[in-house]
Parts: sequence; C-alpha cells; structure tokens
Amino acid sequence: MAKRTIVPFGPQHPVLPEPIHLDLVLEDEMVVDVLPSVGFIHRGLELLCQKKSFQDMVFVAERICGICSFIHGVGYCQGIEKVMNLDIPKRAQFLRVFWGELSRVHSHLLWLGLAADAIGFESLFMHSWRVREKVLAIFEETTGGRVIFGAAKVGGVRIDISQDKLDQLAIALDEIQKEYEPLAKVFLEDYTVQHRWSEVGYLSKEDAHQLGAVGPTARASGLPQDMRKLRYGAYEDLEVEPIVETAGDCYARCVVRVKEIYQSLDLMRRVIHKIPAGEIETKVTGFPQGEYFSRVEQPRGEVVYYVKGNGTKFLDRFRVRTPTFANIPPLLQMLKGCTLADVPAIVLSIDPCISCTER
Amino acid sequence: MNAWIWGIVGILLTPVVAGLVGGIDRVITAKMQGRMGPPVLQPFYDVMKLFSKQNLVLNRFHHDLVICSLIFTVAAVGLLFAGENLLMCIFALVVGNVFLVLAAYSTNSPYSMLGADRELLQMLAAEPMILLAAVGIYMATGTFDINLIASGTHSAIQYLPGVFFGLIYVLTIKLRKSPFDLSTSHHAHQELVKGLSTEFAGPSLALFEIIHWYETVFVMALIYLFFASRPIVGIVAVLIVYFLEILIDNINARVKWDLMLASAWVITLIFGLGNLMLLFILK
Amino acid sequence: MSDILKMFTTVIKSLFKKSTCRQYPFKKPVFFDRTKGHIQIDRERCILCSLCDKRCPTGAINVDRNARTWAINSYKCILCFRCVEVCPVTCLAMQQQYSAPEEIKKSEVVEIPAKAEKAKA
Ligand code: SF4
Ligand code: SF4
Repeated sequence: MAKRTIVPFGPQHPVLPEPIHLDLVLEDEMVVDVLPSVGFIHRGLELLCQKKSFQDMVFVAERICGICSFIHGVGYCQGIEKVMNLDIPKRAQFLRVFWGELSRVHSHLLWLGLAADAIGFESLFMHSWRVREKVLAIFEETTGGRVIFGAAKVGGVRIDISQDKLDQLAIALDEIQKEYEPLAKVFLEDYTVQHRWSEVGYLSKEDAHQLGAVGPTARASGLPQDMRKLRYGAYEDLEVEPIVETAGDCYARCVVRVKEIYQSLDLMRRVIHKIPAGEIETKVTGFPQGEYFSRVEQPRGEVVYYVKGNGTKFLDRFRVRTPTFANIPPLLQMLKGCTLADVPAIVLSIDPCISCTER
Repeated sequence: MNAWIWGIVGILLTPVVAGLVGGIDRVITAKMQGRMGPPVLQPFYDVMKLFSKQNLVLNRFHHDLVICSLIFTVAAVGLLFAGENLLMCIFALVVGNVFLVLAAYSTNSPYSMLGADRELLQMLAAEPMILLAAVGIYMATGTFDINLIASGTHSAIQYLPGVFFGLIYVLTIKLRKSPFDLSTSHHAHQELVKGLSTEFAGPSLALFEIIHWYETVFVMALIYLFFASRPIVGIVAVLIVYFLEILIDNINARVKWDLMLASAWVITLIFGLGNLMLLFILK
Repeated sequence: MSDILKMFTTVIKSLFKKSTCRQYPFKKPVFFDRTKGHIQIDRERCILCSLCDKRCPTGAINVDRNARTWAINSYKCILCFRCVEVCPVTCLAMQQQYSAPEEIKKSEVVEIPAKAEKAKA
C-alpha cells in the first residue's frame, strides 16, 4: 500500500472561494477517502425569524446567498403567501420569473467562469465573467442592485419594469446570447476542457437518486428533476422542459448548465412576450398562521423553505434546505477514486454554495 | 577576458529584460482576457515588495536551498552568455532546478511536496527535448561551444525544424504556462494552491521569481541559438515564440501530468529524435 | 486539431478590443436611474415622524425628536429603500453615488431645523 497523505482542502483554498473543509486522504495522487466538515459560517437564521418581522425576513432570506439571492427571496415569499392565502397578481409573478431566470443565467455564467478557473483556463474564466457583467448591468438597470435586489416582497414585487424597458431588454438579451455563443462552444468542444472533465467524477443514476442529488447534478446523471415542473408562480403559463444528460460526469454537468443558459434566455424572451399588464402587488393584511413547505428551483437545484407562523408578526419556525446541502453526499461519492488534480473540478461541478448550506 | 565581461553583462541584464518581458506578457495576457492589466513594471514592484516582507522560513535548509538554486541558475545564464559549453549550461540549469525541488521537499507541506513531485515530472518531460536540442545544434554546427555556434555562418534552424518545434512544445513546461503549469502556476489558482512555491514567502518568493526570470532568459537564448547567424531574425523569432506561448497559455486549460508526460515524450521522439535521425542519414 | 483552437478567435479578438475594465473611482461609473448608492435626506421637509426609523429592517436610521436629529448609519443600511417608500412627506431619496469608505463605522447625523427657523429661511 502506498503511503497515505492527508491534504486539507479548504476552508481557505484559492480555487474554492467558500469555506467548506474536506480532508482528502491520498495515496500518491489518488483520493481514497474524503471527510467533509461544514459549519464555518453558520449564521443562525432560524432564530433570527423570531426577532425580525415576517416582512423584514425577506431581506434576510435574500441574503442567504450572494449569487442566487432573488430566488431565495421568492421562495420565502411564496411560502408566506401560501400560508396567508394571498393571490399574487400575474404581472408580479412574471416579473419574478424574469428576475429569477436572469439570476440563473448570472449564476451559471459565474459557475462556468469558476469551473474554468479551477482547471486553469484563465482566459475562459475572464470572458465568462465579462458576459456575466452584462447580466449584472441589466439587474442594476431594473432593480438598482447588482447582486441583491430587494425586489421581492410578500404579496408581489416592489418595483415594476415598464414595457419600453422590457423591449429594450429583449435586445440586450440577444446581445448576451451572441457574446455567449463562442464561449459555450469552448465549453462544449475544447480539447483540454474535455480532457479535464469527461469521465471525471462519475455519479450513476441510482446513486444520484439514492443520495438525493438535486438540480444540474441530478439532471446530468439522467434524473429529469426540475422544480419548475411543479408549475409554481408564472411557470403555470410557461412550459419548461428539464435539460437532461446521461453521462453523469463533470462534463455532463457542465453541458447541462451551458444549455440551461440558453433555456433561461429563451424563457425570459417568452416572459417579455407574454407578460400581462396590471398590478404588481396585493395588499397584505394580518399575520401568517399555519405552515407551508415551499419548493422552488434555484440555479443549483431545489431549495425547500419551511415557514410556520403563529398569528403574530414573528414566525415560529423558519428553515431552509439549500441545494448544496443535498448535493454534498453525492459529492463525496464522486470524489472517491479520483486524482488530486480532479478534486477542484469535481467539487466545483456541483456548484457548491457553502454560504447557502450553512445558513 | 572578453568572455567574462559578456557573462557578467548577461547576468546583470537578465533581470531587467526578463522583468520587462514578464510585464509585457502580463499586459498582453490581460488584453487577451478582456482586462486592462497591470503596469508594465509590475513584476519589479512585486519583487521589491516581496523583498520588503518578513521571511518566513520553515527550517534551516529552506532559504539556503533557494539561494543555491539561484546561484546555479545564474551561473547557467552567465556561462551561456560567456559562450561556454552548451551542455554544461543546461546541466547547471538542471542542478538549479533540483535545488528548488529540494527546497520544496524540505517544507513538509503536502501542497509543496506534491508540487515538488510534479516539478520532477515536468523536468522528466522537458529535459530530454532540451538535451536533444543541444545535440541537434551540435550535429548542425559541429560544436557545443556557444561562442562558435553564435559566430557560425549558417543557422541551425535549417537542419533542425523538427527539433525546434519540439523545443517550443516543451517551452510551455519551462515557462510554467498553461496547459503545462502543473507544479506551480503564475496565479495561485490551482488544486495545489501554488504547488512548488506554496511555502515560499517574502524574500524567498522574490528569489523564486528571480530564478524564474533567469530560466526564462535561458530558454529564450536557447531559441536564439537556432538563428545565431542572423541576430535580427533571431530576436524576432524569440519574440514570436514568446507571443505564441502567451497565446497557448490563453487557449488551454491545465492538463493532467500523464498527458503532459506522454505528449512531451511523443513529440520528443517523433520530432526531436526523428529530425536527428534524418540529419544523421542525410549528412 | 481544431479542438484545441476553440478559444483562439475570442482571445485574438479581445486582444485588439478595448478592455472591459472600468476604473472606478478614477473614472466615473455609468449609473442607472435605479442604481442604489446612498440615502439622502432633504432636511427642510422632514417632519420627524420617525416612520423611517420604525420601518427600517436593519435599524440603520435613528430619529430623535427631542434633539431634532435624523441619523443614518450607512454601514448598517442595506439600501432596501423601504424608508424611501414609507416617508409620508417624501423627503428621503435614493442617490446614485455610492457612499465613500471611512475608517470608523459611524452614523451621519443631520440636524432638522425647527419650524420657526424654516419659516425665517
Ligand atoms: S434603505 Fe432600507 S436599510 Fe437603508 S435606511 Fe432605508 S430602510 Fe433602512
Ligand atoms: S419618515 Fe420622512 S418625515 Fe418621517 S422622520 Fe423619516 S425622513 Fe423624516
């Protein structure tokens, strides 16, 4: 047996800008075992809900994650709205989908950049983020914030986008797609990228199902799992077909995300086309009483919001199960038997968002 | 006497030239990535700043080994400019490299150790081709003496296109650029943090940078030797080759070591050895 | 062979294009109408109702009726513009310029002139 070395990976590691710690047990450069430890940035949100009113909690929910913040806010609002039996105006729901899908594009572009960086492809990294910058500009133009918008609200959304602006945005989306296309080609076809990703970090369909993988990680292993199929909010009027790959390796996970960007851009065009006129919020009176599990699709997969109100301004319980949390057991499975050089690529392939995970 | 002066001039000028080239490299790389990039003099600022920092050495040998490495690398460049034996220069460079690996091994950090392992692999991949290049130059010009090679009337390149190609291929390894920046890269953005140089801090890291400058000039000089009879063509060729390296760096991901080793040897065998065989038969 | 040249055109193109970097703060950035920078108060109009204080989710605003001051701690403020929404006399506004960095986190205190003074002015 070769000599075993333990290489610490994280919580401070340059390819992984977030604090998860993995002890990699190596034989030469082969990983034989992985021991994860999480909990470096626990923030105690579950208690916070007893100190902030349920309307202020939206801002807290948005800050669970710095990348997919808007969808977190929506997930929370949706939970409260269901508890309070509120009817949300159609326009507000379409706007939520618009910002949500734009968040997905932004998140996937960010991931593509980071993943390219993890395999040492710096120029691809920079160019992905250059395109992402355009998406952020749209955010800033429409909500005022580049990452955290404060646009979601219990009962609807807080700001509207005028029809003129939406038409302009349709052009901007086309431009983004045009700039994104050559990069997508690189991700899908480049030789060195394939060398680093294909047949690396394999996760079988059975394992994906049993270990509870969600989002692109599950879809890349052949599970057609997408919460948007639940047709919450405006997805009622917008048909979404989950993008599924069957290879189950890092490359398949990349392909899923690359294609999802196209899908999201397309969805946004449909939103612009279909969005009805009207109110953007309903008046909220009273306090939530009862409980609800709200499930929405994040860029990283399914996020579950559990809210329980007791008829006062403050919630009783508030719990979030984020996608990365669900994807850590599959990750450990993928890591066994890979070489050290593959570790960053595999860890990044689940698109880990540790800040989400630890709440 | 003249040789001594040339050697010293070479040693003194190298940091200036290599630093500038490094700075221009960074600007071009940045431009290729759609960025602005640092000022051209940034490498000098970096090194100066590193020297002003505290030197965190992990044990008695660490810093000394880096200094040994510097001495041998500088000697290699000095001998090259002094016009000594080409083979001797190459081996001096290898010895300098080995000292660097020893320095990394002495630290006991897993990143550094694995980086050192990979550096050895890289040397294994690159050195055969560099030696073949030296042999090729000998076969083309009939001498290992750099003075004679440089003052010769015909360039080695016309006999050695294959060797030249092979040399460019392994140059990526020597310059620590993607796809072959496995042991340590210019950015601390890889699975081994900064691999070989992870545990180097402050002045040690500055010395490491300076060693890399000398290495860069050494390999560039090697390229120049192929065009020695026409200095202008030589310099232009060196610039083009360096630009090519930047381009290759920017259009490739970092590959794994097995591919590096295999491809470097295949190229060495086919282009390097094949070229030499042909030369041997035809001459 | 062409598989390893996928990135080639993008790289070469951007070599000859202007870089996308924006050199903030040396060059002024392009702000959008909705860009969130900092909260500004029109002190002449404030009636010290302290609604903004009550509704601010982070407690960044502090209104003191007796001392006639309105204070904002811009390090606590999350720029959610709820105060802008609730102010009954619309004397708060979202400005586009980001607040400048400071060495110490402190509140910025604005004195609200009394009615009489306002009349004089
Ligand atoms: S913008 Fe929001 S956080 Fe800032 S002061 Fe106003 S209400 Fe408070
Ligand atoms: S809500 Fe407006 S008027 Fe009332 S205290 Fe705040 S700033 Fe003044």
